[in-house]
Amino acid sequence: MAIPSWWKRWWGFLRPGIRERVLFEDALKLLHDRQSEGLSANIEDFASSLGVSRQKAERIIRRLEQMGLLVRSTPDGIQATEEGRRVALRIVRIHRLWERYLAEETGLPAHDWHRRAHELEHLTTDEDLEFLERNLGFPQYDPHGDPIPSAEGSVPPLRGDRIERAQPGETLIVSHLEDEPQASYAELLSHGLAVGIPIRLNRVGEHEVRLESQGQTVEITRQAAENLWVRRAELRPDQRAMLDGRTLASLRIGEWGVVRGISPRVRGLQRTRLLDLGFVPGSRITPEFCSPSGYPIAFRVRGTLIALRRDQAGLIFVEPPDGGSHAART
Amino acid sequence: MNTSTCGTCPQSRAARVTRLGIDMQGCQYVVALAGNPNTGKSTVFNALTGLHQHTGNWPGKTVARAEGAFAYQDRRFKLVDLPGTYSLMATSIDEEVARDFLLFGQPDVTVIVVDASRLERNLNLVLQVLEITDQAVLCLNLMDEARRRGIEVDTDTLAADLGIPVVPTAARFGKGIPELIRTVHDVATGAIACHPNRVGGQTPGLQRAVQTISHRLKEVFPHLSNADWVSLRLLDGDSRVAEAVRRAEFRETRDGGTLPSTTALPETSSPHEAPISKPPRHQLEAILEEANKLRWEVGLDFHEVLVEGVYAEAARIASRAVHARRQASAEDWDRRLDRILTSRVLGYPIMVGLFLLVIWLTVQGANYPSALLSTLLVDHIYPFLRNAAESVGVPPWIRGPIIDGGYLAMAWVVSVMFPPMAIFFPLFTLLEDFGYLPRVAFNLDRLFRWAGAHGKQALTMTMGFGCNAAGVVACRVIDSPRERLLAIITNNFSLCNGRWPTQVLLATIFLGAIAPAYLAGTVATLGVISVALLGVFITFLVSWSLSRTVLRGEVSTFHLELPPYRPPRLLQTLYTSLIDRTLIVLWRAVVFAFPAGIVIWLVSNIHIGNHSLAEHVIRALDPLGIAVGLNGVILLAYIIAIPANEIVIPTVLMLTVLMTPMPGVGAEAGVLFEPEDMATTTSILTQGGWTTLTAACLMLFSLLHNPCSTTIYTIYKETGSWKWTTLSVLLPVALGFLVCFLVASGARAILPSL
Repeated sequence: MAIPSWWKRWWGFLRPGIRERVLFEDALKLLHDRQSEGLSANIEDFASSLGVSRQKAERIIRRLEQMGLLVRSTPDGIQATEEGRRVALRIVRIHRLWERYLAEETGLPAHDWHRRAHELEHLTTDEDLEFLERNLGFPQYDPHGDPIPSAEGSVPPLRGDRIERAQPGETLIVSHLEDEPQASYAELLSHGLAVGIPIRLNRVGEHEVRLESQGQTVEITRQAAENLWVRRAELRPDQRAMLDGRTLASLRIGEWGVVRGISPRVRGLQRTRLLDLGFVPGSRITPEFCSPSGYPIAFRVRGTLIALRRDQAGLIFVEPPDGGSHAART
Repeated sequence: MNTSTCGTCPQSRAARVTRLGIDMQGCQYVVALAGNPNTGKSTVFNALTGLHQHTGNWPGKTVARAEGAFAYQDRRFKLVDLPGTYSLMATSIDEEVARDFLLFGQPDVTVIVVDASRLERNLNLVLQVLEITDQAVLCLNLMDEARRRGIEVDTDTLAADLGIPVVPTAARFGKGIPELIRTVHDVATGAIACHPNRVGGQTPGLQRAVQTISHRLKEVFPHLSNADWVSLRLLDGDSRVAEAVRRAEFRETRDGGTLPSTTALPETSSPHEAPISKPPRHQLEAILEEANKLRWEVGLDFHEVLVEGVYAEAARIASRAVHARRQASAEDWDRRLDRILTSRVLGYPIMVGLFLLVIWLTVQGANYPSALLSTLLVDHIYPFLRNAAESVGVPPWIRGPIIDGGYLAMAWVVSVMFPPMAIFFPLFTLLEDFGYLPRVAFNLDRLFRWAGAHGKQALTMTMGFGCNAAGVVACRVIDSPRERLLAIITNNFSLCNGRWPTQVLLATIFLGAIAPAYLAGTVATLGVISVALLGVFITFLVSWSLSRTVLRGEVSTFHLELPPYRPPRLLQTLYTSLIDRTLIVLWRAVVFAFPAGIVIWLVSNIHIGNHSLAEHVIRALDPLGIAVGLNGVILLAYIIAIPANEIVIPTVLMLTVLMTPMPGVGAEAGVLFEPEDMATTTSILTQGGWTTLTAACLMLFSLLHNPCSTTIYTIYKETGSWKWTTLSVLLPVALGFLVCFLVASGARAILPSL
């Protein structure tokens, strides 16, 4: 299965009634998000979130109420009914499955997943949904670490907690990156953070959070830190190497290192390909020579020369042979 | 096929081996050929069947599956060459094809070809194959190379550790092939029993989950011999295997309707393996559900743990069986050569030098045979056929389209296209065989990376200078989907052999003329080179923009294997590649050029009112043509000569004469011709209203227009998609019109007389 082509998407959005459906579904999703955070929603919230006028929001709410999908106890207290929650969960489920699909099976970069999944979620039939889930092997979490509701409506727990709640000096693993607001998400991505990346918290300041990740000290704004969820963990050897941040790119020609792990940012075909080529934990790897223009570099891996580009080499974590006191690294 | 020669020579009779080529009737056994890329799998295939699959020192030559047959001791064996893969985890189409055939095609014997000098890495695939199938033979190929590198393999230990027979071979020299055939026969007939070593289920960390699923599978399928492997695949979330369990189809083949035609599977179900009675569906679903649950308990790194386990076992087996005698000199040689060929100072000059040498040899070498073929086919055979037809009394309305139209176009294509193809491609193949081409990709990758493309596109692009259709086929070596599509779509911007003559002719007549006589040659040459370089520039530009727009969502990966250098086999390479090219040129001439010739004759000879069809169309196209600096004749020529770029100029000349008749020039309507001398050509074109601007625009349009129909057909076959084919056709045409329009408008703004 592939993503519906652009003309199918266009056609999908031209169908009669689709605009209304998109608004209904988005409204129920907003309600679901608010309720899961223990908040309620009022008309203004709907109007601003859906990008419609107050009157239009009013009409949508009234219509949803008539359909029995939500109830209005007070003007500010809009609640989804059981049926409304079910519809919202279905959309959330489709959205997160699509994100997972886009991350694993396409070449789209991380900041595109959400937007594209949002386009696709309203056009997905039940058959598509089943096929998608089966193809992905019934995943439980989307690539941001958000739980995917099952077909029966049960939702796995959201793992971890906001980073501000962690203690300085703790080793942590990124468990969830909230993808909205976009600016915060983009900031986290720009520091190379992804679900599964090990970090060490240094300091939670008034305006910034300082942490160590992949051998570097990173400072993120408090606002972006709101979007970063982590869980405490004893690090495995591959995660320790990732925290140290020594990669194939940091080896000099002729040196060697032992692979400990591949960054969680490498997904799908690229990941399995690297593994199959022998970039597996325990492999001893030597950069032998580089292209006249600097990159790619030819690495000797289990008896064969494989050339990789700089960005790829920077995502394969190694341990130098002497286990740390590797002076040659600059 | 080759039975007459091979079957009767004494050696062959002694071993009772017959190479049956593609004659696959009545085969009792199916033998699959699996292996890593670049282990000489295709060479083994050729040695067994006597066929001539194209081989090369280059991972990824075999993409479509090849089939052949051989016979030994009155038994016939069908041999299926699977695509070379690093693994069977089915993450790419190649891997899926190979895996599906082993799993559902149920071969009687699987021959796993490995590179003896790089055994450890090859064992990764071997161990995966052994998880699936019981009946296998290890073909320890490239023994000659291993010996050169001072590597010795203890075959007995290896055979004992793997649990399957091991046969050392050097397929390039035919060594070990009789033993291989005998062993395959013995395994197929059951004379040798295999007890393959299976490690997947024992991987630490996965054991419990695998055993749980495996146990439940065995309850349902008591005869399932690879339950551990199936469990592993279910746990890894392999939807194809899950589907197989759901349908209980482990004893059946599947119909190949869902995959592209090149990957369709054959009907190989043997009668003795009838499906067993199907277990109840709910029981199967329960197993799948359990696997889905366990998958997430094992953790997210399932695949990693699995591959790591297989590699660890491979390392253990290899360390017991492989002995490196001494620091081998061949290795040093390779290293020294790599240092030179990829060095900062010499890397690029050597590359450019070799490229120019190949082009120079092609251009110079093609002149004479091309003239010879033209004399033979056009000056001698054509009048002969025409006279013969006339004397037998064939009516003109048959003789015209067939002989004056079809035959002449065909002759033209053969004489223009064949000699350069027959020189260019063998030279290329020699460099390929030697192992130099991957180094070119390595040197140039950075440039291509900027455009979002793969370094190997340097090679497919260069191939395009010979023939775009061949260039498109060559894109198979790029195994990343996005980059492969880029290379296919932009290949047409490489100026192919069929378009060089047009460029040279126009540059000589029109561009040379605006320079002083002593500079004319230089100016013309520079003109042609600029157009070719513009093509390269546009390749980068289009790759850059496509990779950021239309192709953004396609999966993109990168790795480049740099194989060891191997001494090229001169004669065999020349022979194979010559045969290949001859067949392609002839096929193309018959299938595409012949009908085009008929159409060209017809449009010039069918009259509506007082004018021929051609004249009507040309008048209609004239305004558009002139707006883009061309004319109606050129546009019509490009429409009807779409099958072959090399007949565009003869068609243009014929149509120009048709529009503005000149006494004593040209033959009858619809008959392609080439004037004896440049002066006549010049006067025809000037008569037709051509200016330097027309020539310049035509040179640009000849670079930027739709691919010839052979290439379009090839693009469709290679991508299996109308969408990408349409894009590759429309994009260059649109660019061509745009560029020509801009150039023409600009030139007219400066010089209103044009």
